[in-house]
Amino acid sequence: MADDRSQKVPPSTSSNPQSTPKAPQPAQSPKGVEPETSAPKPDLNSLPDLTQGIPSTLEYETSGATDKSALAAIEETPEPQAGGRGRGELPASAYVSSRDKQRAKIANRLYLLSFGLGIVFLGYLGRDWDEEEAKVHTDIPNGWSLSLWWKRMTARFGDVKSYYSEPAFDKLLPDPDPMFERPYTLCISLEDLLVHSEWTREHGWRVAKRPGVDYFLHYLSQYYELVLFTSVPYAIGEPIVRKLDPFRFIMWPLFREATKYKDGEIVKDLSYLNRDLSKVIIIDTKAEHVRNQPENAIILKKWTGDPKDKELVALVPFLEYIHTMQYKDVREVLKSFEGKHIPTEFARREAIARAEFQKRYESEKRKRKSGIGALGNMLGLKPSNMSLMVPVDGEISPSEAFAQGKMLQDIARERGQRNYEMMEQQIRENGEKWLKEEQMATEKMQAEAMSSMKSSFTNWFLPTKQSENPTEPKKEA
Amino acid sequence: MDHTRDPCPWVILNDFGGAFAMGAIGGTIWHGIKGFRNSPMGERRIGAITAIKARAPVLGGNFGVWGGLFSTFDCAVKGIRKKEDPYNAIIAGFFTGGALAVRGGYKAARNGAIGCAVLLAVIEGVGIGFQRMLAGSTKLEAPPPPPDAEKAFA
Repeated sequence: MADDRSQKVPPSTSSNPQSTPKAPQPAQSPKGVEPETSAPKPDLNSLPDLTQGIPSTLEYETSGATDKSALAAIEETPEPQAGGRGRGELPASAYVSSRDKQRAKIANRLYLLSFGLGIVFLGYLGRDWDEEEAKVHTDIPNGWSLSLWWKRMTARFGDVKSYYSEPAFDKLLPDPDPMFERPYTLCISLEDLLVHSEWTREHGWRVAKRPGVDYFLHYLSQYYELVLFTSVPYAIGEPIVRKLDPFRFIMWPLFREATKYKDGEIVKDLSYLNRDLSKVIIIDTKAEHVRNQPENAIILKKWTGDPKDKELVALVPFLEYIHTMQYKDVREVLKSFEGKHIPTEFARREAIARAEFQKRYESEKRKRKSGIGALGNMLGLKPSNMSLMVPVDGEISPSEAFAQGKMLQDIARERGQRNYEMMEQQIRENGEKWLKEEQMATEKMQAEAMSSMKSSFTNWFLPTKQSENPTEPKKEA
Repeated sequence: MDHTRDPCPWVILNDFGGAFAMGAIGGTIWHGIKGFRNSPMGERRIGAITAIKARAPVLGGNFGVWGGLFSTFDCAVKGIRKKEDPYNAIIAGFFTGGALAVRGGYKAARNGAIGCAVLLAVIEGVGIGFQRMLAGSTKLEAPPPPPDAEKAFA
């Protein structure tokens, strides 16, 4: 910068010899003679020489302009001089533009209108029931009294609210099919029970299957009507279910749409299930989800992706036993396990029972009585249960099995294992074929839906063509 | 678990980017037309391009700030409440509106917050209504063909 200025200075002095080389005014004052000589033409010398660059105004700013007293003087002066616009001459409302006034007026009218409409709507909500509504609300009669009107209004409000908070259907499942010989219903949750989703930055979302999930579903599908009851919405849960269970061992998948929303929480309300609640078990990971029927629930810990987990498979013997013994009310059984770890507790009880059974068996063997019927009675075996045990080919009859010292659940397990293996073999042999058939069917259905949609669209756009057709022959005729 | 969206801290980035893209694309269309219409004949194309270059990124930035801020507040609210429901979005909208208007003073911040919360509440309400409408299609019917489990079992 210094170099620039030194270069610029010589031309300026040469062009205007009268001006001093130093531009700022204070520098000029020490030379007392010059101001006097330049008195007739003060502008030229008192003004800064802009060829030297713009002089700093810092001094002026710090001293003069921002001085508050100076400002106050400027502000105060116009007041006495003000013409028609002075303060206090007219009321403040005189200075609001007519446009603003109009706007405010319209806004006020709108507020009033919406308030009035709200009142009218509330009154309308309390109107008499129409025929269909009267069937539902039999407790509140029609009539003109204020309390009745209030009750109808609140009931209608409640209807609207429940439309959004209740499950989408009164009966979540179709009526039980008597041909489908599974008296018990098992509801299973999805996330953190059968699968676990995890997210990493590299891979995004990935879903892991819990160890033994396939075995659990395939094996228990012999005994239970499997229902997947999850709080995940349909759009997210459905693809996971299709992938997890392509052969549809899960009979009914129920999603978020089937849950109830209560006090800010999602509740799986089994009373909507359309099944006898004494024969329904629900396995879940969250106690709040089943808080309407905690007595039907088995609460498992969340599975967080541990590949050595055995909790799910460990439940199989217990669930199988419930089916084997044909309990009238599963809630009582679950109650006896309350607060205990079900697999270990069940194993403990089974060990005790087995020891007892062995003791009896030994004594029976010694006595050599024909003790099968007595044994059956001892175990609480009813004739109806015996009929379930009709031997399939390749299976020894129950009496023989008893003679070999097998308990009832052992027989059931052998049967179950055999069926399971048959099932697995079928899947290995025909699984791909079934999947292909199903895919074909869905594709066909999609194509049909697409074509029907297209035809409906074209009908939309060409409505005249069809109406023209009947007229054309007439013209020809 | 919603597999269409990343989990919480990361989703802020997604939302910011998505909102920016939305604003930038929308701004391109909006200011493209505006610049075109407001230019004299013969300079309409260059006028449109100039307007887009000057204003679309700004609009994108504004949208992005809104989206990113909203998502940040949403995550914060989720983390504090440990719940997933429509109130998360409404509370986050309240704070977003307030934060964006805070330079206008207390009154502006309050009005912005309330307005934004109401907007978000309307959006959430419409979403719930739609979900309820679509829920009707998930009804389970007794299947005409027996499932494959039956086939295998028989």
